[in-house]
Amino acid sequence: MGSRSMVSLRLVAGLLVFCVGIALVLMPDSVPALPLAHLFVLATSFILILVGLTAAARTLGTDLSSTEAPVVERPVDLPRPGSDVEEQLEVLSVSSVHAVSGTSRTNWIDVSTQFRTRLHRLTVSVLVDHGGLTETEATEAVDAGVWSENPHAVAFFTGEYPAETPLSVRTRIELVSGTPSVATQAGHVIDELRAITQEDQRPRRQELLDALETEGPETTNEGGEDER
Amino acid sequence: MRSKQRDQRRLTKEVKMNADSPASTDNTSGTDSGGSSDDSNSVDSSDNSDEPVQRRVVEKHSPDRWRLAAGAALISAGVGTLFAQPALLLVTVVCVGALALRWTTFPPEPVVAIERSFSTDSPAPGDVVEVKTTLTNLGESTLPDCRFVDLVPDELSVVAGSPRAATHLPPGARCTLEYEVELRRGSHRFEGVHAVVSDRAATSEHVYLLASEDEFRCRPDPESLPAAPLRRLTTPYTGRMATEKPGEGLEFHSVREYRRGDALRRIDWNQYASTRELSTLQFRTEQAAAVVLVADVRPVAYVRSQPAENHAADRCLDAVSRLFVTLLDADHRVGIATLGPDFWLAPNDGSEHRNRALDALASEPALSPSRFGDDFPLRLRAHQLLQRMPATTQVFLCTPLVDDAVEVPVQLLESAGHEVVVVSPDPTSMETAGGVVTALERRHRISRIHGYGVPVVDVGPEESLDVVLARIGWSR
Repeated sequence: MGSRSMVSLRLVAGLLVFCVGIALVLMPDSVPALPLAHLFVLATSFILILVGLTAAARTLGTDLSSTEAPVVERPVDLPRPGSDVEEQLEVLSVSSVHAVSGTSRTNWIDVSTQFRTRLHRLTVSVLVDHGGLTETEATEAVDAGVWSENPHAVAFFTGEYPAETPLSVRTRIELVSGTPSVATQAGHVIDELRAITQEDQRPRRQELLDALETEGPETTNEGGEDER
Repeated sequence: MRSKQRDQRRLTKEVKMNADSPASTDNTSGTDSGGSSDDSNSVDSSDNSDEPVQRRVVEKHSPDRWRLAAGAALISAGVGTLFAQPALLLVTVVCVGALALRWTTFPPEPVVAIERSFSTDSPAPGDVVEVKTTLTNLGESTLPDCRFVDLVPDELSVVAGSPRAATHLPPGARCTLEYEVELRRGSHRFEGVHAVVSDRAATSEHVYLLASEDEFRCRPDPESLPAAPLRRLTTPYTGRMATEKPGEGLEFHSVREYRRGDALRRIDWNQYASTRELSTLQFRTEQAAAVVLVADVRPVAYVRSQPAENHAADRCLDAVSRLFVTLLDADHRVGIATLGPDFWLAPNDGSEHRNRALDALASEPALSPSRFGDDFPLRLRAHQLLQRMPATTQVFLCTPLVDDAVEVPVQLLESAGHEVVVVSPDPTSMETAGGVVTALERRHRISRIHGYGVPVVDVGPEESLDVVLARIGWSR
């Protein structure tokens, strides 16, 4: 709607200028009668230069478009399994929910909630299948943050970095880079899950249960859950 | 015997050149195709060499460089006026002239005839076929700058030559695009030629779709598997599958007390020699199974990890074709159904039924390598299958298991008494974060399906079905 009214405005302005030009050509006697003729010419010249420069700059500043021929030499592009996950990670890659606004903010919160639920369910199932835990034990281990030694992966679900977070990581978060984005934390969770499913890196059930028993409320609130 | 049948199948391959190309797409009902081997491996080719093809404008485009001319005209007019330089005003006139040319010249409309020819009339999967597409300018005006791209079917790869050309085409002149494609199973449709036509000054470009439809139908020639992963459910018909029921057969079942009327050949004479008591040998009764092979061809199944590999739906259809001939060779009754666009071939046996199924795999849009039609609610499709299938039918569900929804038909069919086996080509790859999540979710899905008492044959990306069946020891 806005662009259409802009076009009609331009059209009217163009027609007006055209009519004035034709009138001046046909009736040159009227030119001396114009008040402030020199100033008028000067202003017109500047406007012409300005508009011309703007048009040229806009053209040079944008990629030149051209017709694109279809790629037919290879089979048609189909989605990769997991491309939806990549798209969600892309949305969550902004530093925090405060960095987006409007519909993007609502979208960020929706995607974050869905993705967290999805990864939580997946982590529990991986701990059941590969760690020998029951579903309840696995859920408790994830919620208590004892399922992994990776502080970023733990913080993805708990929203807090565990007390035993290495000093180097803590320093980097507090002094240098700030709390990593949800996508970064999710990436650590996915790396941990990949490692757990590999034969030699499976968690031992008893170790997880012991950790669950000894888990206290001692955590440091480093954020990572801006929207909570 | 199998090789003999295969030879017979090869002999029955006939080619049908059909002048009416759209006729090849008539069979979209989704029900029993009822085809025969006559129109299986074929090329439906349209002969448009003398008549101009239909064209449709897809897009009109004006190259952005003309905006520069407009900017230059304005700047030179402004500077010329400011410094009272008539020469600069002349530059403006030149630029305005160029812009006027832009608005007054138009690309000519292409009046083109298209003739497409193929190096073979009986294409088979794996063949490399040479395609020649000749475009003739039948119009009165020259096409000063035109680019043509032959629209190769979605799932075919160009292995040599090029399906595109840029040329100048005077009236009556011809341009030929020559290239080679490697064929695959199923129906492959050439939609037409993508043409970009520009005027002499290249002020604007018009993009056209020139309609010229041809179709390859490649009938599969699937290899039998060493064994199919059958479960226990059988039909009342005699067959070759040993059951738990004692009776006539080949495989020993048990020994029972002799009853009057038992055949002499079934008496256990060794037992009689040692104990002087008559007993009768019993064998496992051999009966035929009825199996419906359900292919998951929903839109979600059209995924692949690498551009060069077959997509998951195609791998499912490949598994269906191999299981079909394997079960049919073992004298079972076999049918084919789909999740997604509807197709139904009721379980049956015999060579006519085999031809009908293989023709369907070559020509049915629902079984095509290219995505066809819309999705259909899974629960409704499962209920539809339950209504269509006889009670004693096993189900082989060939699905990549890429979503949770596919568990619905598995549960419904298994709980209705149809023994289900899931054959699942794995399309996932652990190379990316998304791939890891999808692969692990799929593994957990397999665990859940095992929990319903349903076996899952998981076929890895680099594996073939027969190797997997041999590895898991399915030898029955």
